[in-house]
Amino acid sequence: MADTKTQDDTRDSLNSSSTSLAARGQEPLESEKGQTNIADSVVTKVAGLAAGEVAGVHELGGSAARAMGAVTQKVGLTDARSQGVSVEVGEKEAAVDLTLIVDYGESIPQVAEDVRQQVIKRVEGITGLSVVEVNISVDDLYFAGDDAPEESRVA
Amino acid sequence: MTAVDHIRPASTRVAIARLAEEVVGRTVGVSATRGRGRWLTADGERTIDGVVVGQTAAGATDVDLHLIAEWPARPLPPLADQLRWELRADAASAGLGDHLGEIEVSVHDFKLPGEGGEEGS
Repeated sequence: MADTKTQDDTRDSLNSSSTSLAARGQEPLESEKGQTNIADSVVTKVAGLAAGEVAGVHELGGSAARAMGAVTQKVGLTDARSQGVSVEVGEKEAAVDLTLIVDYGESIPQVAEDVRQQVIKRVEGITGLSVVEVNISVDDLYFAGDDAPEESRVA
Repeated sequence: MTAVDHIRPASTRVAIARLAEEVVGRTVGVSATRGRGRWLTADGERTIDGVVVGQTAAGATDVDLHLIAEWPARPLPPLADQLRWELRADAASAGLGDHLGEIEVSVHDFKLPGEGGEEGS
């Protein structure tokens, strides 16, 4: 099992960052025209979809989350696309935590960096929130054939 | 709108809520929250879902739009500004422009392909 994780204290700066989207040419969430609020579940789904678009990401969610998710998805409580994603959303900024399973043979640091860039691009582009951090935990590696059913030992 | 509404003129806040409902209904990429019972405006015997209107001390009518974003994803801040702009234009056309206060837009969920039902946070 491989694990790579970065943690900063930047969450304390949620909503107080000076790196505003307006400065980068993007529409702000609060203007003289009015306020726009984005819920956690919106950011969760966008981040989950964005991470899944990156080559080398086999699945989102740790083994426990996937086991629990298999049950909760069957009863309609959760969606596979938000599994392994947790977010903290302020009025102007968001922080994202992701748990991934990476395909064996891929460079984990490269996949993690690609995921980070893709999540920032999608979340900022769609929601207008400034993403202050994307923490990535690689919970497991996927080997081709892992999903194949075990052959019976007896005829 | 019920038959009673045709007889009795709508209050300013209900008239603005109806305009907001129309604007959301014709905007691609969003729909109003439904079924939660928290964000609505009573309009006679029916409800206007996803629209909350309130009177300020100064007499203006503030509008809160509670929405679900839909796939494919569109950037939400310009979409919210489009809603504000269209509601202000419609209110002005209806002679209600002076009554309209702030317009706040809240996106509660993202409806993905294959996801059924409602609803937001």
